[in-house]
Amino acid sequence: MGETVLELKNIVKTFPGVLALNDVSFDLEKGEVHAICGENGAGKSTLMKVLSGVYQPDSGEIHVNGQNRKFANPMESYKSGVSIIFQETSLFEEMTVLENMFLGHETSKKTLGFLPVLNYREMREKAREIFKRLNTKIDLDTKIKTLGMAQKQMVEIAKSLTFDANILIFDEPTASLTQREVDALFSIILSLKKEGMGIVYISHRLEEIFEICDRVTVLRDGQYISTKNVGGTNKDELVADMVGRTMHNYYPKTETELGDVIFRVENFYDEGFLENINFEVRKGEILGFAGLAGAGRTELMEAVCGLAPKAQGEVILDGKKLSISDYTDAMKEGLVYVSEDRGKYGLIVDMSIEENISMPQLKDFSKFGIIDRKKESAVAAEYMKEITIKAPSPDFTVNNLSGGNQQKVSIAKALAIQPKILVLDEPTRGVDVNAKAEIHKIISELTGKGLTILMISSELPELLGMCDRIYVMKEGRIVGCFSRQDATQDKILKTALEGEGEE
Amino acid sequence: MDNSQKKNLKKLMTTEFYLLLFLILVLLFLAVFAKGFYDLSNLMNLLNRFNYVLIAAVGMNMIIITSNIDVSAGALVSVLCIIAASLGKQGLPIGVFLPVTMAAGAVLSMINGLFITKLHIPAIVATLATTQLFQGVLPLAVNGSIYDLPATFTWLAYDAKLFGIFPASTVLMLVVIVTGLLFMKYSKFSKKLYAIGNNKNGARLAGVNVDRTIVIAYTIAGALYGITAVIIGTASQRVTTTMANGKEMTFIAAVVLGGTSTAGGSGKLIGTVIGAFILSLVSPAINYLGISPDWSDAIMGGIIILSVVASAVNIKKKRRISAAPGGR
Repeated sequence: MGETVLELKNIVKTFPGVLALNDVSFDLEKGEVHAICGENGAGKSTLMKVLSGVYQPDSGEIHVNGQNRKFANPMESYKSGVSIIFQETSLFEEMTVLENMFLGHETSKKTLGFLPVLNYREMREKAREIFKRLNTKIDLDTKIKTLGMAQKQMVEIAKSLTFDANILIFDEPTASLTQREVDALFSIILSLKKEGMGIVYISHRLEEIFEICDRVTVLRDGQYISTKNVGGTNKDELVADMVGRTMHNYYPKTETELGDVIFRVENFYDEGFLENINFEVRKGEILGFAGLAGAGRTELMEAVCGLAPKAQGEVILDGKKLSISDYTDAMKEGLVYVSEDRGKYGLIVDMSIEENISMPQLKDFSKFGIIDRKKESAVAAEYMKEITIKAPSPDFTVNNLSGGNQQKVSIAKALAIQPKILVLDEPTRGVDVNAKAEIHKIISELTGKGLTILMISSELPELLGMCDRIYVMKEGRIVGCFSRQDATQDKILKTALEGEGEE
Repeated sequence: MDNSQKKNLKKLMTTEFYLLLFLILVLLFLAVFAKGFYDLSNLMNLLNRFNYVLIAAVGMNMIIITSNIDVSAGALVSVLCIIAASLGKQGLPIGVFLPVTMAAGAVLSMINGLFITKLHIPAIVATLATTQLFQGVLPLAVNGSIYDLPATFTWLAYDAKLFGIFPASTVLMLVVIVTGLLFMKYSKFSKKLYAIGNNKNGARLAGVNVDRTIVIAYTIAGALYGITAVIIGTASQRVTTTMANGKEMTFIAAVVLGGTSTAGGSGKLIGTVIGAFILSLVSPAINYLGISPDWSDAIMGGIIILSVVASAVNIKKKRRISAAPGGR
């Protein structure tokens, strides 16, 4: 350690009307994993985009391996030894692993003295070498679309190594990985670190920072706040730096009086996805679903809400057996699902808040087929106040809202349907610390009003903090159930991994 | 069967494989039921048609892979036919009017590319507009047709026979298709085309100059349209202004039938070759089966729908309706 491979000095970047980075400095040493953390909008991604040549800074200097650099595009940055592994993978789905790894810098040889022809053999050899280094086996000729998230990420990492990079940037690499895949990723990061690479690690998950990083730099609102040795700090201190105040209570769960069993799911089955699922929930309860990615939690909720046409089983609400053949039926019965991917399935981001809220039930918002804009606006305004959506007006476009506020619009949209059972799938994914706390508070308040909530989350602290009971799923089955008092991270994780727990 | 054999078999079961199977079945069917279909002159006729459809389809394939489209191809080929004819009328040989027509095609098609990339007009709108433009300009420049063309003009179609039987346009086709197949596999440029069709922003991040690549794809396609125009135009001593109008649908259909997704980013040129062959087959085939030629367009449409439905069913089998991206 000790040799500085990367130095960003006094970087300033403005967008029209926004000061995205204000005098930010950062340095990275050889063989170090240096975390950058901060809320959404703190400037982490912007900083990395400046470093990787996607954006050009207004002022400031970038020193890579001792040389002052200016990157006009990502290719130049790659070639200088900086490789970024983007949050949303930048891979090409219909192309093969090999083609993806070398896209834009293919190896070619001159044929007939002048014709550059792709040299597949050399690329193949190099690719094999890299995968050997990563201790991974992936068929170089498979198309990316057939790979899972973890494998895709592996291809991204392999791709970055084709550039002989000595600086790697990981932008939220674990967002869609299971625990086991995260462990595999971490061992790769550690071995790359041993090889002497400098690694920048961006993550929302503080636990990961303590597990794998050497130093951590906090940004807030585009400002540099602090750089600390991971060994010499703790979670509370980091969160305090990130939000600018000390947070004592992440999870404002209010104890609510639980009612009778309101909702039961019996013998749910969906070939290849779900096996004999039974669970029940009491009125006012928050019921959590834990499990690794791919455990079948989302599939279960989709099946219950009529989104999986082939699933079979019984759904009983208020003692009445429901016949749900599609999601419209589920909504009518008061069963409402808020998707984990709000950009894709939850909201129409190019439309306004009010339009999104009225969308599922335009009939109630219209007279003689004509939409009552006043009512639409009034209802939206009500929800904006109730669940504190920060936007100038109900006709504000959702796209321009922060992730947290978009999530609140998703919830408002669901609430406007007057649900009895609200299903929240990863309600705080990609949301910053403050908004997260607000969403938790909203969830808590809703149950106080008698709403029953089923909540999927991949963040165990969130489940432990919010839920009255937690079911654990594995490979399409429920393998355990813990009460609020009994549940611990260890127990749940163990059950999710090994599939044995207290029923 | 062990695993690797299974894997090999699976690799073989591509769209192209099924198409080829279909083609062979059709050819067998025709051998039995269409008397005289395997007549030499008919086959050569078919080959000629296949040649010009395929040459244009190679260009169209590149365009569609970038997730763009060119509906002006037919009108543009009509324009190029007239350009070729007006040069031929001067008594200029094919050695002159072929390259000039190709160059003209390249320039005119490049305009499409520039509209799309520089002015950010969606490809379908831009090329619809240029279709009207091309069709509109022709009657102003030429009164219906150019006729009484000299024998030097129709040399390609009548006098230049390979080994005395094959139409000489086959040479052009072979040159284009061999170059095309090698180009799509071994050039850096082809990787850029696929990358753009897959994920435009991703391509940008990988250092691909997206706009320039698209413009070049249109330009190359335009040059290929030039060859197609020369084959179509030289078939008679009279070239009309509407000679190739509507042909763009055949070109696009050959590409789509060949398994290239209109969403871009996927599809192999070899599929286009088979697609072009099947479509070139339709009209002579029904002729020899004794079905009215009025059916030919409808049958082509039916074949395309069948193939699109078949591949859609295939995709659906693999995926579950799911709100969980990457959930599994």
